[in-house]
Amino acid sequence: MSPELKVLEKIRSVLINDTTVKSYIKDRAYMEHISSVDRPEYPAISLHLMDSKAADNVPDLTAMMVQVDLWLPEKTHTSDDVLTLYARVRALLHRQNLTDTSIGVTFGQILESATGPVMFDETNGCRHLPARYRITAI
Amino acid sequence: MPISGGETVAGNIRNFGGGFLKHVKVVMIEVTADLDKEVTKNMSLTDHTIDDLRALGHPYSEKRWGSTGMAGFHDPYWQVHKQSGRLLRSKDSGVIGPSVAAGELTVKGYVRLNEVDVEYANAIIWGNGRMIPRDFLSGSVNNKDFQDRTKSYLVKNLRDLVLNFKGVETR
Repeated sequence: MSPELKVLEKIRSVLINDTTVKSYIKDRAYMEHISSVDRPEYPAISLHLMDSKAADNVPDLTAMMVQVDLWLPEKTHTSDDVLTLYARVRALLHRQNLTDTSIGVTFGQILESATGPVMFDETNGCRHLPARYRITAI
Repeated sequence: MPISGGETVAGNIRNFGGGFLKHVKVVMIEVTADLDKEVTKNMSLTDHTIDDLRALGHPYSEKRWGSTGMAGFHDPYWQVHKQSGRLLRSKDSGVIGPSVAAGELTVKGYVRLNEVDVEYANAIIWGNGRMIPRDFLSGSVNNKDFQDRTKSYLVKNLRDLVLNFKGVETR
């Protein structure tokens, strides 16, 4: 399994095993961008690998950028819900020491680097909040 | 441990005179112009009309890229087409500073869009339910060739600097 897949899998595992996140999305944390999921169900979180490259100076270390998108239907969820879920996701990921020996991945760092505005997406009727994380992992 | 000497550094910069600060500004204006050129290039593709893209099924999702064998359809993937020119017209750039505070000299160059004028700008940069994010603003900032070129120019013109490249900033 590639380091990128291991990273996405670990992030997904962290999210769907959290009580608060689960209360919103159940286990719907997709490991690809929502536009690539066949008939996605909402509410959901999607993970999208934006770029990835070998780190310059440490063998086997990979540096990547992952966008974590929150998708909550406007009809059933308020902006407060979006921000509550966002805060929980950030608490679970930002600056956390994430390791998973079962799939063999250790994060060197995971830092939130940018956050978008809360948007309404006409294509799926959801409130959408994206955040990008800069990650190094081995 | 208390840090001392900041005021002295700031004083030296001020004593050196406005000439140095002007020089810093001129250098950053040059760098920002280069970034503006790159961003303009990123949002000026003309090889497909909106009808072409519609016929292709709006191919801006990973699934469509993979399933239609269109990986690398646009390389780099964050480049976007110019249609009406509205997005391009909403772009502007500038330099903030330089300013000196607590012994540090700071100067920032930016290229930005007016999302009030072009309400769909955020959907392109952050993606939506039918399209992966195509961040044509940050794309060039994170591009190694651009970073190397900029770094080389800045080091040549401004010694002993600390350089930060930042992509999309909303907060």
